[in-house]
Amino acid sequence: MKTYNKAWMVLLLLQGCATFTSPWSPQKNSATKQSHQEVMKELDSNFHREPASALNELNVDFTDLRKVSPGKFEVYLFPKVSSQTSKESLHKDIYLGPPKVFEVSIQVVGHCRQFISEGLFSKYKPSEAFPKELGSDSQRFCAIMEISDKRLSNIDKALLKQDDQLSVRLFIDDSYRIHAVDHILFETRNKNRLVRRVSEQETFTSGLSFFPMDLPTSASVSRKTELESHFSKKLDPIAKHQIQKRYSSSFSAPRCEGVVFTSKDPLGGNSEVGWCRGIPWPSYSENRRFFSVTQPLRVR
Amino acid sequence: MKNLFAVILLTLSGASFAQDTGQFEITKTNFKDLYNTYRFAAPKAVPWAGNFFPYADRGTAVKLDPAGDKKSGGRSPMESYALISGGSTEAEDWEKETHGCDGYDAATKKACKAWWGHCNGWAAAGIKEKEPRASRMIRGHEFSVADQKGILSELWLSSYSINAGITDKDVKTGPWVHEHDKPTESYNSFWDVSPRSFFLIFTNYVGALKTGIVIDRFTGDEVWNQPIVGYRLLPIRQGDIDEVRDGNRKYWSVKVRIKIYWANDVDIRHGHISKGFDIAKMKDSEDLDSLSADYDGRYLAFRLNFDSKVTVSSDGKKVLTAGKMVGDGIWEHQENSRDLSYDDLNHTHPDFIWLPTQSFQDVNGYGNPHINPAVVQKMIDGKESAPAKEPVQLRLSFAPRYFEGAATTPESAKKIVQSVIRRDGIKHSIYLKDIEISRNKVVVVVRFPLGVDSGSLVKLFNAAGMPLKLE
Repeated sequence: MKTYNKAWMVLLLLQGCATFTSPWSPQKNSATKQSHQEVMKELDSNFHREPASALNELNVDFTDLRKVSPGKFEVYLFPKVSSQTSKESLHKDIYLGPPKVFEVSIQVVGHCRQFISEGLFSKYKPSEAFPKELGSDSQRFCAIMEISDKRLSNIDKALLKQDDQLSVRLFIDDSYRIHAVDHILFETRNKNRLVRRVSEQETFTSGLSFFPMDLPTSASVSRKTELESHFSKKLDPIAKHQIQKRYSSSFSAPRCEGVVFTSKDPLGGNSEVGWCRGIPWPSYSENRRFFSVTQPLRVR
Repeated sequence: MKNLFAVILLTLSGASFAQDTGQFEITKTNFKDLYNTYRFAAPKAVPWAGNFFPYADRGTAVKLDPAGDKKSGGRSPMESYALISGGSTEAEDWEKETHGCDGYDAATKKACKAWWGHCNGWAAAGIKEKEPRASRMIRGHEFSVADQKGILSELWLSSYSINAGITDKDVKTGPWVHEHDKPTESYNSFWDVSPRSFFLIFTNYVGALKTGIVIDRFTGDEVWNQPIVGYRLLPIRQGDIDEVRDGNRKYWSVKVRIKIYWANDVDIRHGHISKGFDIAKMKDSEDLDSLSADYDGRYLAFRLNFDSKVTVSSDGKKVLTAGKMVGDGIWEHQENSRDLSYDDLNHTHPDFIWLPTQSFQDVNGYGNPHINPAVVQKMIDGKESAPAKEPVQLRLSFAPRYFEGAATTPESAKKIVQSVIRRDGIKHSIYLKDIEISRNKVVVVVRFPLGVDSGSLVKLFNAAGMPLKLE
């Protein structure tokens, strides 16, 4: 039985007043009851977008990002393309579009306090991106990574369009939590627009799927496994052929022991991330927007 | 055929069509911050008004005079395109064959004549391209504003995009729309853009990023794509906030009111130049503001729910406290759906929302393969383009086992061949009359307007498990 906070006396007093709004009742009809049930269900759930603790068991060392040879790596992304524009009927089919390549460059890895209070890489204003608390723990590491769309980096500037996303800059800590994302958007031939989006403590999504790699969360279900078979289910022969033809002729599925993380967020997004033991970045990930594959990483 | 389909199903296992915020990435969900920082907003580059080049007029093959009005002896945007792309009439031929209303059954033809057009191409161009505001002389020919807008709408007719929500174009809005506790597929596709998704997409993209987005403003079976030029959240009144208790649990339900505005494409002349739009000048009332014919808008109301108390300033323009959003929320017209006519419901919340990222040719055949983005860019810049690449025509010969055996039709063969070529994003066109089906082989003639590396094409089909011979 539901009870409502608004007093009936107030209701009676205000009845007839043109501006009066009656207290809203979730018992009004089947639509409101449905909405109420959703709220109750979500109140009972406890979704938090935090990095998955299972990474500790993988011997993943965040600081190895600075040992990645040669300081940057590539991610091949297959966008999920829908046929929504069809005018004739309901089209839900999605297919993988031609791959895009993104370059991930590790700008700097350092103690979080160096970014927050010692002016490391101050040109990117990391003190406004990382939370102050990180600076008080001398053991914590942070990093700034830049991910750029190679097609957009290489084409004639005259061909860029309004709001094309040229790159993103990630402010990330050693638990693989993203604290802020800088979006660099094309505005005119002489000017780009920078928009910083600081991630909230309890954000629903990773903030990463703009491109090109998702990360696991504490809400992820993790399963220790060999990665090759999971990966091969995702990467069909056409996609494998495309990577080998365009980017890496020796490319093959990652053969390693690792963990596959799966999760579903409250906004309806599913993601799967495959991570090899001892490697500081996932081997592949899939979410609503793409399937992406990391160039096999070597750590010096 | 089995091999190919196995490959594709394998790839997409686990991929379901986007629901809720779909493919939009939401990083900010804090209602207080979003409301206070982005209570009203507009894209950095306000999209322009244009004509949707209806299929009933043969799309961008419509003959126009220099002012952009229909004229039987005039020149179409596609004919103009031929003047800067080497003289080939293929773009116009393709447009006439593909973007008209011939060849459909009576019901489909009726829909085609009523609302099919280039609204998605115009909407995407309106977001990604600057508005052509003056005619240009190229190679001694005048390219009117209408020519330029028509060519841009054709280029962007098919694009990579981020989507939220789906639409069911097969089913008219009917009693099923009220079946809130027995949702059908049609029901889900009608109501799948929830108030929470709508609020988060608008505030995160138009608000925070200041990028354009497109909505389908027709909630039911038709599709009317409109680029958003701004939105305005109205002040929250004390009476809009209710505390709801259920046993020992409680939450706060808030009625949120918003006005959204979009650029128009109906009754706009092909060569029209847009007037400005300023979201700051719109009013905080539920009545729709007085707008020029270039823009239109809509008032919407919905409820969002929060896990802790919501308080607002006395003028309702600042949220002082608010908890985390819980649940999808409910549209006011969803709550009161039985009080509204189906036509009223068709003009409520967006049926789907999308954001174009890059033009390309999709599998549905909407993207005109004879339009070259580089040539279009030269036109925008008022420059002559380099000589066009030589088109290539290949006869692809396959063993019948890759198709549907005796049931193979030109349509199904075309679909299967395109489903492989599209994976490499190669511009191409296939005409049904050029497909030969016999007991021994299926031959598909494919034209590649921008050329193709035949060796790579063979390898692509090999990878797909469909070896072919080039005849």
